[in-house]
Amino acid sequence: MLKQLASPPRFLKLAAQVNPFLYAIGALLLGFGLWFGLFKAPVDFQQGEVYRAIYVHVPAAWMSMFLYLVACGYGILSWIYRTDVAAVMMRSALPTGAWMTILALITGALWGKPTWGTYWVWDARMTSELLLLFIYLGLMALGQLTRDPSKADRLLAFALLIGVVNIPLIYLSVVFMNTLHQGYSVSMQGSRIHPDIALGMWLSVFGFWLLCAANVLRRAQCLLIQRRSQVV
Amino acid sequence: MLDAWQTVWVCVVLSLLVLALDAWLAGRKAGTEKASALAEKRALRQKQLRSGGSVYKGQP
Repeated sequence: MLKQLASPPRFLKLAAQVNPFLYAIGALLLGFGLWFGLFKAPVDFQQGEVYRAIYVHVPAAWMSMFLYLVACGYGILSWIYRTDVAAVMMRSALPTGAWMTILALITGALWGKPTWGTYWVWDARMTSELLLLFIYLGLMALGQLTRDPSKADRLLAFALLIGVVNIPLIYLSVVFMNTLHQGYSVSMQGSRIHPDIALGMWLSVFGFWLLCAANVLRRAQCLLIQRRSQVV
Repeated sequence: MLDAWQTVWVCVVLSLLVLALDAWLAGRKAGTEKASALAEKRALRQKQLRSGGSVYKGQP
């Protein structure tokens, strides 16, 4: 299965078939999640209406971390198997991850002003998320450093593995450090938020997830075509 | 300062813009690649036609 997916023609064919569905289902889920969250979900007793930024802030923040782990996973695969498909997937996840980090930071700042009275504080959660943005930007620059793609891929995979320490730091910062950012509302043990709020949020999360996957695949298709044309 | 609903709408519109921009940037590059691949193919075909050879494989 893995071997079959590592074949570039097969990957390109599969990506071209899957991508329209990812965009369509992702847009539907996000649209429904936002409609439900903005107009149907109840108001938060403490924050009032402004809490509704949760429907875009949380999915963006989760995607920023998840896409880094995806890039890291493909980095390991490209290191072990040296396949072009794994390498382009690793590279393609980085720009989308960087966009999601920017989005999480901006929506977080906008939400922070009416809630905390400030757009920004050097809080552990926010600082580590900003650090993630710099890591993404650094990795994207690193990928362009050398003209030899296989050398650049190995370098990138290695740097990705070093930078992954920041992900648990972001995730656990609200547990181990005294932060202004609120703690977990959703965890493996369950959810502490109203079921209607949680429904809208999960729909938005899956919508974001599918749309980000579609964007990553779209970029991977392009990079793979580019690589193959250079080899030929 | 923005009120609660203004803050929410700014966040939502910004998110949709970022998702669309990312899709456009990924696709724009793909479009450029496809266009350059097509141009390359066309140039090769012209070259083969000028040299008098067939552009199709397997034909004399």
